[in-house]
Amino acid sequence: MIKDTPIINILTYNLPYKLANQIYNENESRFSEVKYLIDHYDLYKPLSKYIETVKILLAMTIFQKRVIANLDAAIKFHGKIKRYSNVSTIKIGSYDFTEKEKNKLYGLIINFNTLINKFGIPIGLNDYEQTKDFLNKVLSLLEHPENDQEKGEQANNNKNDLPF
Amino acid sequence: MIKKKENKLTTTKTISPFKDIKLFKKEITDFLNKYKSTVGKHANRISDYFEMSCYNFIVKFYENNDYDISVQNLKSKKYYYKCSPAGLQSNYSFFKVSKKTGIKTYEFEIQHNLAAQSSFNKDIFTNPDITVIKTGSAKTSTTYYEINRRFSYVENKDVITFFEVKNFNPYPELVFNFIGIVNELKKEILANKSPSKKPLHLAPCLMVSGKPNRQTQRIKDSLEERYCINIIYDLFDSGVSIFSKRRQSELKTTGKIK
Repeated sequence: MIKDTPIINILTYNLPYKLANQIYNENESRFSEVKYLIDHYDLYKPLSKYIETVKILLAMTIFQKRVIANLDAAIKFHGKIKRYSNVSTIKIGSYDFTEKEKNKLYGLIINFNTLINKFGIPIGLNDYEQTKDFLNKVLSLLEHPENDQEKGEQANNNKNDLPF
Repeated sequence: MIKKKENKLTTTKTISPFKDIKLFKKEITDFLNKYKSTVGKHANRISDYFEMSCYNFIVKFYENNDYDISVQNLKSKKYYYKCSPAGLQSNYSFFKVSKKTGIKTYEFEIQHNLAAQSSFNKDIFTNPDITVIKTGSAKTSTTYYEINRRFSYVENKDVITFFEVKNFNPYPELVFNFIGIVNELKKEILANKSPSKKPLHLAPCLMVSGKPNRQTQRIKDSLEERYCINIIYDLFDSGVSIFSKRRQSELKTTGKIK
């Protein structure tokens, strides 16, 4: 059941429509570019065997930027208020962002970081502007000795074939 | 003892996402299943959280410039965050920053969603997401609405600087619209006759979460060259470092462009 569900659907499940739509659209648009780049440029050919992994990594980075980073921002704002007052609750409309809620978010962030560390994914993987920048980072990840040395060497040999 | 610890850290084995994709996907699914209610609960407030993040950066700027910081107007041991232009300012909390230079102490408030008076017409207002004003200058009017409803605002002369916060990718119209707000609230900036406010304040900023493309980057470069404003992109990644002590000199402060 799980393996048949696209990763983007898993990541956007339970999110509000507007946010889910933003994530879904960015993912679709970038993944089309990913497929084009891998199909047309030798530099990215080593990734063709790992297209499913690339798809998951792409969806994860978008989720990280649009959801995780914002949740982390709420924790930091809470910390700032606590630093300058003895208050630990932020009232946002009718909702109380309490210390307990902050701790739940903190747990989420720690677990997310543990997850990406477990798979050797660098924190900066989501720091890209163009899709080719993302693919370059994925290539570097593939070149890592613990991943696929042979493919990594192949990628190195093709570095002169830059698409842009 | 320490050496043993270091060894333990360096030998931690990672699992390749390229080799075990099933496990990779399963771990992501497990993570999301574990936190789906937490994510779902907070996802509706993502834009508020982004605005909080920008507010944090502004407070950080004042921290880095040796201002004294305090939190004001707390109610029932809670910080009341004003997340929309509606509502009376006196019902919400804010940060106060103050700095002593010589014998004079300057005090300012960093307000959320406060209506600011136009510099052209006293009867029109716009709501920047974050506004730095002179302390105690937020006013209430009962004549703004047709009904006898109270309206919070700040007079144009009391606006020190302001910040527009946008949680999406930048596009040309968004950036040019910001110039319209600058014109309405600080028309002297467009004529490059803006007086520098002492002590130090940031020039009006457009803060955008998304990364620019070539076109929006060119627009930013061109507008920043012409006007004393800051356009900051990519606030969840590389943009964040602009508020560090080391790089904050790259940000423009109130005054004229030399």
